[in-house]
Amino acid sequence: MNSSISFLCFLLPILFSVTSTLCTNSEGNALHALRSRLSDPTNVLQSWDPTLVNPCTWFHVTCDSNNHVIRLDLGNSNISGSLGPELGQLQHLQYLELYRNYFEGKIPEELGNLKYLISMDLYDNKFEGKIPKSIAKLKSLRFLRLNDNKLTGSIPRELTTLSNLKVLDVSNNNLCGTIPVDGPFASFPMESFENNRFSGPELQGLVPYDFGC
Amino acid sequence: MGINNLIGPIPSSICNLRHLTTLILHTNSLIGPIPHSIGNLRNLTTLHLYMNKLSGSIPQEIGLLRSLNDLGLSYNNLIGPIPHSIGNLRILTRLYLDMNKLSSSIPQEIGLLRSLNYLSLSNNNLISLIPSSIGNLSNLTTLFLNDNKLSGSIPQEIGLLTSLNFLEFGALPLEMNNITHLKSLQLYENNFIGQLSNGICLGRALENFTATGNHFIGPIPKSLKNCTSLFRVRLERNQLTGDMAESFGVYPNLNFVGLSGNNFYGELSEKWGQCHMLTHLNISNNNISGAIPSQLGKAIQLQQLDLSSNHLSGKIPKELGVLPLLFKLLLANNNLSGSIPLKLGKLADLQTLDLASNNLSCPIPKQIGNLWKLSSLNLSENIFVDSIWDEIGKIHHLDSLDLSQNMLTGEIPPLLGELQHLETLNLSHNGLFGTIPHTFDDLISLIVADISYNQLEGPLPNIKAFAPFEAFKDNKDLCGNNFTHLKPCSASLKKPRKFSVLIIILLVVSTLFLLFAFIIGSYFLFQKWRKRKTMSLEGNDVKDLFTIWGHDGKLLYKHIIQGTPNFSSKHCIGTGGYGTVYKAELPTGPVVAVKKLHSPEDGDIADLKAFKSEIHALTQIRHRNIVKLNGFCSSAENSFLIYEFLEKGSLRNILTNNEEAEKLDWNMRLNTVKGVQQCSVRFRI
Repeated sequence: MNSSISFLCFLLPILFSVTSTLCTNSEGNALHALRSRLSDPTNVLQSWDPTLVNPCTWFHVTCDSNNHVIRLDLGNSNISGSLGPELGQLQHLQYLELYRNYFEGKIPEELGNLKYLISMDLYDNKFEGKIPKSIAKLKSLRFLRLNDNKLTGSIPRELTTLSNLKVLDVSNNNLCGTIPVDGPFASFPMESFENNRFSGPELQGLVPYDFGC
Repeated sequence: MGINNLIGPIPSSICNLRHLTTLILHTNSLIGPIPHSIGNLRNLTTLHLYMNKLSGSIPQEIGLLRSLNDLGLSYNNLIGPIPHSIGNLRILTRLYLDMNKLSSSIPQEIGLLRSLNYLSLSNNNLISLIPSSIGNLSNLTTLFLNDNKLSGSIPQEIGLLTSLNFLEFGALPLEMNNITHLKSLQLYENNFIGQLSNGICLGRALENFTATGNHFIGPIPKSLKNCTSLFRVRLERNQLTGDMAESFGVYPNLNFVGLSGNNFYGELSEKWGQCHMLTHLNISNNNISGAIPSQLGKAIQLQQLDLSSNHLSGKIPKELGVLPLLFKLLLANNNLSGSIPLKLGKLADLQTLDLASNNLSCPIPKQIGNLWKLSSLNLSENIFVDSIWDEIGKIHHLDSLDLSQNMLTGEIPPLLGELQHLETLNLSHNGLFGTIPHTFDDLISLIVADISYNQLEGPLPNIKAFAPFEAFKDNKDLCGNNFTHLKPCSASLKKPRKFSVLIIILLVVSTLFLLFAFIIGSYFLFQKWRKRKTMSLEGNDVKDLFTIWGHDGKLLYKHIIQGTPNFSSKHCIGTGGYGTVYKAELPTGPVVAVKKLHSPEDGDIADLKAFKSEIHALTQIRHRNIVKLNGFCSSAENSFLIYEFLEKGSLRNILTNNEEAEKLDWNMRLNTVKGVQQCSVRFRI
């Protein structure tokens, strides 16, 4: 898939004399692909010009000194639409701030590829489906706020391996099953889980049994 | 056979296909060198080998492909020089060699490719000068030379390329005059030197101009100043210079301007306010001075404004508060003074506010609490006074708060504990006192905290961020359980539970006693009050000192509190070494200037005697060069001096503000200086 995009990259300048450097930056492409799925009535994404050599001058995008995207700040922006797998290509992303919008659809499991991610704020949206297990791969994750959505299923047990996780909030969703108690989960207050359909904390000492839900 | 998964080297036997006209093998995983025998394919018109993993150098034999029209070798690992024989490909119209590791210099022979329309050599390791023969490529419409190690300046001959409408490479030649319909000029990240040419945008067609990250010097050429077609200009990180007020004009289509990291000086022109399409203005890291023009408030599309690290002075114009789309305001590292205009609280979209390292003073306005989208607030290194308002706790999305290195006093407001997303908190180097609110235990996101160098006491919150010694050192009397370097909080703090019952009994008894004493005492006081109408300065209770020359003291005190009102930042004029000056309109009519002295520690009454004698001296003075002191007020809560109000502001402001300075004609200035001189002779200032 990557090569066919690159093919287009090369073909367009030749065929149509378009002198744009449309595809020399995969992160810019990823964000452009994201934008094409979204509805943006207040034109927050108006500066997202795909003909620029990298997305580092796009508003609400922050890059490091090597022109890699490290922050995406789209909180409180009246945006609707769904996320796609392309977000996983922002390999250096540290802060994913999409809170208080109208995002819908599933949380893509490709977000598990963002190995430097520190903060994932998807709260106050209309996300549905399950919490992807792949989030457990995000070893630098400190803040995971998925509250106030329409998420279903259980909390993946794998999340107990996230030793840097400081804040977890999944309240006000439609989650079920048991609440893990290991690792960082030992310190999360009960408010982080309220307003769901949990059957209670995981029973210790017994063989872990997924009640399924 | 493009876009396949072919692997392995190109077999040299392919070159036996002498009648082959088109060889398309791009986007595969081919490795190894391009075989020398490629030269046998004399009928080849199209050769696409791009997007593979080919290595080695481009063989000389490529020059034998005289029928070649379209040569694409980009996105490979090719090394070595571009062969001189390339000049033999006289009917070549497209040459793409970008994204390789080609080295050495661009051969002069490139100028022989007279049919060339598209030439891309970008993203290689090409060095040295661009050959002057490039000027012969009169059919060239597109030229990419960016991201190489080209040096020197561009040959003048580039001016002969009259068909060129897209040019992307390194430095700017002098003869740009002839490229009149150039729309886009991209010159970034090279080592180019010299001045920007005076021929840029002569045809008023230039829309995009990027020259970021070079060594350009000298002024902005006049042709660029008048380039009304400009949409996007990026000149960051060069050594450009010139007077900001003169260098740029009005650009009706201008969307994005980046001028940071240069040597521009002079004042910011108000003309920027007429760029009604401007969304981004960044002039940080220059030497611009003077005030921020209020006309900037007319650039209503402005979303990001960065003027940090300059020498700007004067007040932050309140007109900035009208910009409806502004989400990033960076004014740090300047000499801005006065208060934060209350109108800034109307910037509903603001996400980042950085006013650090200025001379801003007065209390922090409560209106800052209305910035509900704010995620980063930095007001450090200023002279903000008074308390931190509760209102800051309303900014629920705040993840970074820095109020350090100011003169903030009072207790830390408990509402700050509601900032559940706060990751960094710095309140160090202030005069905060009292205990840290219990609500701070709710700051669950806090990773880095600093409350050092204050006057705080009591227990530290139970949060890891406060654990390091540097986070809390140099305070009055902090304690903490489970913290190293810190004494554990005393057991007596647990006693209140048992203590409180005893306290209640004692309170009831003492209240009854006091009530009785009050009834008797007030009778005697009532008698005394009827004898005295005014209270004199000598022999009065030190804690209850209300003396205004010739006025009813208590009433005037009340009027002053009402007139300021209650020392709000709206009426704050400025802060100096001894106190903060406010403008007060008394209900009885006169306008006065009230200097509220900085609260002494622990309400030190000992200095009162010195204070009193100084006041006496000052009220006796009637000198035409000294602002008349009308009176003073001193109470347990506040001490202030009341002066006549001078409309024009401080002498310093007048002299440094060009507009005002112009009004001071020579005679007036002479008189002012004489006056200051006399003043100093008499009082040895």
